[in-house]
Amino acid sequence: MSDVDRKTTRRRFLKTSAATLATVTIVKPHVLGGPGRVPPSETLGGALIGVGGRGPGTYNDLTGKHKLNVIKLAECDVKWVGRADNKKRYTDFRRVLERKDIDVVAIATPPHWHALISIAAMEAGKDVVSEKPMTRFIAEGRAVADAEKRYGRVYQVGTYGRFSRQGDARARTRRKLMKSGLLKDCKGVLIMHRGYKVKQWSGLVNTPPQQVPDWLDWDMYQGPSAMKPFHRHRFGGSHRGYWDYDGGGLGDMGQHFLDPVTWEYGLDHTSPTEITPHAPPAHPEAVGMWGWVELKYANGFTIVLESREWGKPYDRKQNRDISVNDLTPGDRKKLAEMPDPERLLGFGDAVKARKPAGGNAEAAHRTVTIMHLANIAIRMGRKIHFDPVTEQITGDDEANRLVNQPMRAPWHL
Amino acid sequence: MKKQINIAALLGKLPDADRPGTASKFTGPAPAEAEKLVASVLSGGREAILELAEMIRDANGSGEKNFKPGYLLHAVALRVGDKGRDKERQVFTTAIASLLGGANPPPGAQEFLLRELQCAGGAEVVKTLGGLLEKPGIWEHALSALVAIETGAGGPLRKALAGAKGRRRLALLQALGSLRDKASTATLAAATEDKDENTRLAASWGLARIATPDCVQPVIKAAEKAKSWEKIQANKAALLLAENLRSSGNKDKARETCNLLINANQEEDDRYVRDVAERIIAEL
Repeated sequence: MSDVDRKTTRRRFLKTSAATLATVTIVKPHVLGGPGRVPPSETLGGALIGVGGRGPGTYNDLTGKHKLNVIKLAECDVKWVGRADNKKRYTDFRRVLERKDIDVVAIATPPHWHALISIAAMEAGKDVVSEKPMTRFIAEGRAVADAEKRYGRVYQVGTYGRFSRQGDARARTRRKLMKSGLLKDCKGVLIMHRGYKVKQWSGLVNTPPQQVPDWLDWDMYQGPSAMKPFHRHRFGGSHRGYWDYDGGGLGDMGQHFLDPVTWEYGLDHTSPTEITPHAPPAHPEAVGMWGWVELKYANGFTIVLESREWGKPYDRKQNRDISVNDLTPGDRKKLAEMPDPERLLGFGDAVKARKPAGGNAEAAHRTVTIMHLANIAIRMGRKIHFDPVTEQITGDDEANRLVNQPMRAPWHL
Repeated sequence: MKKQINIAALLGKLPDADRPGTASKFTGPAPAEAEKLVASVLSGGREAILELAEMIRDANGSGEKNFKPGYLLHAVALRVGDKGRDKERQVFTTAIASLLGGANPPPGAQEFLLRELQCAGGAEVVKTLGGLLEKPGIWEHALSALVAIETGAGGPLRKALAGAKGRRRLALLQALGSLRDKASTATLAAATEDKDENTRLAASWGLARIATPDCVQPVIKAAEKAKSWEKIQANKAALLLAENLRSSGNKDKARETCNLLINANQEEDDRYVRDVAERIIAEL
């Protein structure tokens, strides 16, 4: 990218685009969008990083679902080697993020890049919509949540189940009940046998090294993950089947399934403490099969993820709902006097109000942590214990090494 | 005396891939069956572990287009990492470490074995791993294993840094920062003036993690000079440093860091950075 390109400012863009833009105002969220300040302008500069698969849909949500007036100024993808112009099309997301005319970034890369690009975008003063899963390992999520808080940016993970659930009266009551602190010994059990696509999104074994295509920056694609020989299956959707990039069907689909659950059951500021797996030993590279994982919270509430694609069915507990009937009459009265859950802000409204979005980084992190813990237990083949405050696995150093994994330089959290 | 174990026979008891010998999916054995195979390998001691590890030929843990040696070895690594098995773990890791650094096994296989040490290794293999930090093809995997092990890794990393250049130097500096290696503070401070942007940024980030009072000047100086992407990241390092100084009780230094950063970010576009620094000051 030339110095001239780097100096392309929002003002310059708007000036040169004046013929097609009827009315705009020249302000940006990070200039005028702090808490208590004037909301941002109607027109924002947008960028899409990771254009394949969900990319266009994620970006188009900015104008559709989120009702923001965004002009796409840049796109970036590692498969554009030799085709990038470094003005609108890039292969290096850093060149996109240093542009001051970009206010909102949509991220739809493979998951091992989600956290690093989300963090870097917020450090550059941008607001972020990132595809699910939010992260590849637990420490990444903590770093994203810290960045969101530190920089006062708006972050929304690309799943919206919790927004639907808040319209359900029973779900609102469950959330209120769980958040009330009145339920001391929670007997709730939620067994979820959704479509985890376990076999479909598992990896291949016996993969011989293949020639890297000349249109692909394989080093940049691998990014923070350990450098591995290229194989076509490690790229383009099937990347989900490799621990270097994702966590299989559970890692990839779990955030969709669990996002409404963590809202409904008031679990978006904590994590499970005991995680018990039933799975065959995991392959070190390729994500494989699993039967079920039981995740118990400190208050007793238990989530069970059951694949129904391998092994014995889960039979340790039965589904058990929670309700106001679990409370004493006195506590029921106290609950009735408590306020209903606040309505969640959509990303567009959050950007305008400079307030956290419904799928903010802390909530998204607590959701994706459930899948990460499940996958760590599957990979270890044993029960693990997690401290939801320090976010460390206790008494198992080997398992804890998967909480915060080394990154290949120059990438770091 | 250790039992003689027929490793090939153990591998034969593992399920095949969906399409044996080709790139295809795989479903592992039931945990109880796997446990028997792992116990058999461990009953053969170091010799059985070596025999199994020597069957691996590439970075995916395969041996002659057969994933089974790497798969079984990894299952052993996981088993010995469990509580109360430290003696077996050390037998395993020192056996694996003894295979590293030579012409054989091939570099791809050594990569795989290093990742098993990243998983299960401890202080007993730090010296061996340190000796691999100059080996082309495998040094980066040895480095990741050392970062994962943490304990005792600083010394070998500092030693390897002496002659390191380019990407290897960058990676070593980043690893020292990752480990919050206080003995590297002066080295990292000097590296904030390196000619390579990534090296300067890794150095500032490392100093932000170490977060002693003498980290302030080099980090701020780097932030003052930086432009574009480097400025974004140098500002991040300074803010992290201020937060870490605050956490360790160095409030005056945290305030100084924030004030210097505010002075270094006076453009209108930098307002959000000033906001963060002002908030840190307000919370002191």
